[in-house]
Amino acid sequence: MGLFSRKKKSQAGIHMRGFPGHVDTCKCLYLAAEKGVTLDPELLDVTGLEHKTDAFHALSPFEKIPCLGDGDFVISGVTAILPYIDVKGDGQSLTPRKAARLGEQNYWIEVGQNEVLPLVNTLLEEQLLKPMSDPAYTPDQEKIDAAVTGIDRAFSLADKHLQGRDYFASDYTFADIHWVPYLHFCDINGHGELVEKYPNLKSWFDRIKARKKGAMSTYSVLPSLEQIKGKELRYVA
Amino acid sequence: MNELFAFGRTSGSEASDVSYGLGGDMKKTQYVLQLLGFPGHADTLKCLITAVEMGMETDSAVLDVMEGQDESSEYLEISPYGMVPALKEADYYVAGESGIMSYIEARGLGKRLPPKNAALLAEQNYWSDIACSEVGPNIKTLVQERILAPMHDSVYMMNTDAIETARNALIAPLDALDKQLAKNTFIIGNYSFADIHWTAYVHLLYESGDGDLVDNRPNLKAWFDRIRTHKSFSGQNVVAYDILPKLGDIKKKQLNSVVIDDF
Repeated sequence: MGLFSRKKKSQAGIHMRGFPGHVDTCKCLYLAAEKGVTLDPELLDVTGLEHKTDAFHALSPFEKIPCLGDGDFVISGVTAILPYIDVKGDGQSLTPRKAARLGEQNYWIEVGQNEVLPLVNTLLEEQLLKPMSDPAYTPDQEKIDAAVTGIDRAFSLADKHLQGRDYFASDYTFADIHWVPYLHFCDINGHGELVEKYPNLKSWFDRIKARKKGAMSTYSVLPSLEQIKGKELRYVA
Repeated sequence: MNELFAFGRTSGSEASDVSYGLGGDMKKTQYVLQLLGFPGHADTLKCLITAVEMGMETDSAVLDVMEGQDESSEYLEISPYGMVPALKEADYYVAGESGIMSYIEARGLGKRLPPKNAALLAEQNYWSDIACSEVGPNIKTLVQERILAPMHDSVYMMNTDAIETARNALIAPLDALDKQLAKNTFIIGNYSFADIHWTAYVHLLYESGDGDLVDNRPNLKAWFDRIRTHKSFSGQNVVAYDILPKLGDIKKKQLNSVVIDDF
């Protein structure tokens, strides 16, 4: 390829296999929108166990979802894909330069992944994904109640931390990218009260919803309840 | 100040003044970090390795997780979810391996550890993720069954089923890493965070008596032989492997500090 035929880096199409009701897939979609990266998504139907097939194992041997392909380069899992999109995308990196903010960013990512993600997944499984696979399925209310209690604790700590801060590490960072789908899935799954009751967390969520890339609301790339039920994964441009 | 951090060179107010100045500002030439962790805990080891690799002097003290110190009200003030280890520098606290490793790296001397190239950065994180999700839980089982539980109860009968399950679960990720290392000196080519994550786990495999899982894989073994003599990434004449707690240290609940002499 000649020097003058080089594509602008954010215009090079990137392929991603994921599922709309999958939290980590949504983190990647959201970041792609924020960074202006053209993402060509393909449905990986985890409800149909497509992530257990030999074809997917060849790409992602440990069943890490989502899986990204850019030319010959293939990588899977949110931890790897997010920084890849960040570097490929527009503008400055989301990684803070200051040590204290970097530590804070990663602390809140770890809290989210360890303490919030499994509980959000429980809500998704019980209230959305299992009923999608089996319309006669009765959600386990005890599991749902325990998940709501755990999420409530995490959100109360996040609310306290966000007092006086616009974003988790003061500046907008990867920590915010991780937390957006947690609140989004609570909201669309009928647990919006978990956000509404915490004023600082709600203000943060409102700021997130107001963010734009050009004329597009970046939050709008996250799948709605209907899109998840229809297994529809959006194209991000 | 939280009393759990009342140890090391910067614990007294006079010492703090010497290290940081009255303004409390942190300068790279005036640091001493404090790390609170446990010697049989992989995440604590990762933070110690990072400190050595980045040339950051660190005073260490043991947080006795076997006695539930990580659930004490004092510790939960620092780390509300009880994430171990915890780190303090001047007025700054952070808990958990991810926050601490990145903090130490950014405070460290010399060039930065994470690659700038997008593909290499993604690869570094992929292999770190595989270590944490596929290897870490199984190493925890082996250390618990073979080292920690017998420390707590001298007549403890090891759960051989749990040990066998953990060893079997390690086959796929260790095979994958062995294959990856066939073409690379370090996991993604140059030394990176991925090597730090795997060093902690492979070290604990040897200490738990499961080193055969490494010895049977030639590329992995050759990599670990290189790690054992790897001089600090920041250029100091210190080797991270030398300060890692050996079996005897774990049993005595001893944690080394990071001392760097050749600035």
